[in-house]
Amino acid sequence: MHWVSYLLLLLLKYNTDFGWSWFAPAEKGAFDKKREAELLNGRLAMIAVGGIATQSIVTGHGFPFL
Amino acid sequence: MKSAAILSLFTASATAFAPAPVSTSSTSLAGSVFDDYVGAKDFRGAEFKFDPLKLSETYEPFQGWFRETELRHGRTAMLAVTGFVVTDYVRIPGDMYSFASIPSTIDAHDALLKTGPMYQLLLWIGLFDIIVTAPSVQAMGEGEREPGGESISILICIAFYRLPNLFLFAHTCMHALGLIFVTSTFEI
Repeated sequence: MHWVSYLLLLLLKYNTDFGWSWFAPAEKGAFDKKREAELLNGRLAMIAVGGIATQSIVTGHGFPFL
Repeated sequence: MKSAAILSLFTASATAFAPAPVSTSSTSLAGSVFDDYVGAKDFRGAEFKFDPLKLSETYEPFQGWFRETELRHGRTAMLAVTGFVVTDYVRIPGDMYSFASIPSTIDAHDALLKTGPMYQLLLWIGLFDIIVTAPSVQAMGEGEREPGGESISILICIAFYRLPNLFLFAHTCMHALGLIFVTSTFEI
């Protein structure tokens, strides 16, 4: 299992930013709007996943869960 | 220091019904959390400062912890909703993941506990939480990291620098598990 530590050491070597913020806007207002969107989508999804679990147990059906 | 404070969060929930924090609600400014952080909007874009139990004032040192948990739960739930819908149409190749063996997505957890890699998933996610999540939360508590921020590699660096003993422990556990696996498989 030594490849795991090699992988971690590889991550350590390239420990800077991965450049995964290409989608993020530069100015602060637009960036805060993206953070708002993340929070709101997350809050909706936290409620939605409870509803999905409940309805797929109650009805036993697939995607529309009806 | 701060990990002890975060640990005391769990003990603080036991004393939540004690009448101690009465004075804090009178001194703190209303809605000060919503001025520091984003997230004070509802789905229509209107202002929505929702904290009816005044948790952010009663447990003021744990505002970052609350924000971290909200972001983490929200990201996980967004992935979970996507996963619930996608697995009704597409499955990864493999006999135990097929529609014939698991017709409904909600049964996948119980079915894959018997036949699938659920325990291995638990092992790796648990290792990730020990090595990455715990030091990142600790760094968040000390103010070195925004709640919900930073990339994984930086967190692994924090893990390397802060908890080398824990990493060595995890590494030793991996070797021990591999040894158990090899000896039990080949009956050495």
